[in-house]
Amino acid sequence: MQDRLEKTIRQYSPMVYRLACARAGNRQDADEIYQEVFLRYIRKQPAFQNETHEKAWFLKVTANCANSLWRSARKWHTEPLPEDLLLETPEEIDLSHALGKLPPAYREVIHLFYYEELSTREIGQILHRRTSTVRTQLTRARAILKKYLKEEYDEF
Amino acid sequence: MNFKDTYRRLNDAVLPDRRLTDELLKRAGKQSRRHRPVRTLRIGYGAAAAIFCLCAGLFISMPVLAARLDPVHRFLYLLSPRAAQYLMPVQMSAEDQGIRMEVVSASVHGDTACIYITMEDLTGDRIDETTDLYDSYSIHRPFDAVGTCERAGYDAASGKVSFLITLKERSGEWEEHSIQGEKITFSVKEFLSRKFTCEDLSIPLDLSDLPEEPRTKEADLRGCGGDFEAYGIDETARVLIPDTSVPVLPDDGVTLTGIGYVDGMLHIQTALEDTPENDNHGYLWLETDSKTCESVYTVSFLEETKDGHSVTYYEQVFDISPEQLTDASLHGRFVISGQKTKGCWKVTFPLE
Repeated sequence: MQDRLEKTIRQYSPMVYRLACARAGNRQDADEIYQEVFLRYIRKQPAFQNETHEKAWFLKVTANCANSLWRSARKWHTEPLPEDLLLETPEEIDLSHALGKLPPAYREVIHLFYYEELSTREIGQILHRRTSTVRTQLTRARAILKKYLKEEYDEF
Repeated sequence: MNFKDTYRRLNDAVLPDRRLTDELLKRAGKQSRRHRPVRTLRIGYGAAAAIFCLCAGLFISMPVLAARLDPVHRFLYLLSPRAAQYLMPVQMSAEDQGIRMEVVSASVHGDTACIYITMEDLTGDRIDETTDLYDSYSIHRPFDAVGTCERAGYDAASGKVSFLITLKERSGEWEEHSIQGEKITFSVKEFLSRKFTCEDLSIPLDLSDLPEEPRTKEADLRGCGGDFEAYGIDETARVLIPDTSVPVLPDDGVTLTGIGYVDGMLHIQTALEDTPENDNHGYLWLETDSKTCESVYTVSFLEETKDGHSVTYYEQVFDISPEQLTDASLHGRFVISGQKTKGCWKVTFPLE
């Protein structure tokens, strides 16, 4: 039992933390979201049908926990950019800065699409948004990023 | 160049702190029923004082180890000479940008750990009695606790400001193993100083003739507060298009940028320039015949100006009719930060 819990935590830790960072925009909140997700997992220990189901559960709970944190009163102020990241190239620094210009909901969609490689339909299911809403948000997010990115990307 | 590749490279470097993962794995091992996340909370000055009193009481049962008359001890002596005598000296420091942060003392008793730090400017006068770490500090610890950090005092003679960090147990874990000797890392990446507060600022605005159909737009929100859920506000909201410019605190970038009725509710919009940089904040209220009317909810959204500055718009929504507004006046309270100092101050120290 313990081995299974440990294996699952290790397996999904990076995925959960990256989505939390993408949504929260700062490490302090991401830490909080990250812990809450796995504490829920430890408490509930849900049974999963397969790995796809398991992955979707973790993404959904991360999005929900991030929403809960965002809705709390202390999130009144504008959130800062991600900090402490190991940014090695000018493109990464540039991209990090541009991502900070996006509303949290757009960063979430961008992350699930480009990093987790989910379809807009899958993203909609995880975030409880219509597929058309996800598509619109993706389009708007790209437009905002293009405005702020100095780098010209061949493929977007 | 491919956007996806750059995005992936950027995110590959994003990983949780190993100590957080270790803590979760330990929890998984225990399968405890009492699981709570480690949270960093901010508390009011009054609460800090209360915790100080609690700590002061706790220290009394500990052996005498130090009574050095540095600024923190001097400050503590003013409040409680007995507490000052029982502090455990740490005196580890970090220096950056001409600012020194020193962990002066750390003590544990029961379910509460109290840590005092000081900050001083070695080259100028960026530290003062208003110095505020706001959200820029972090407390890393390998055990479950509620952490807070509040300004404890300012010693004008030495120019040192002191902060009290309090860690309070959440889960009963400390009963199972002592946290004595556990290491804590306290870090600060920036602080604000030279802050001032404008209390009850009267905003000269004729409220008797407001536009009934102001121009609005759907904005992606960056934050919201109050009873917004009851009004169906989610991640977007209908907000005023900024089209007014009534100076509120012009020197500090605070302007009233819109007012009008939207769907029967009074919206009042204020713009604050560069809030990510300075943490300036405030709120408005209405006064009618000695009665105060507060907003029911607030939303905020961000826009970029042509010169690259960011402007955060705070839109407060009031449930008040045009008739009630006839004799009303608009007031505000704003907290303005005069200076922001960035750097990297990090000290790891044991709890003895």
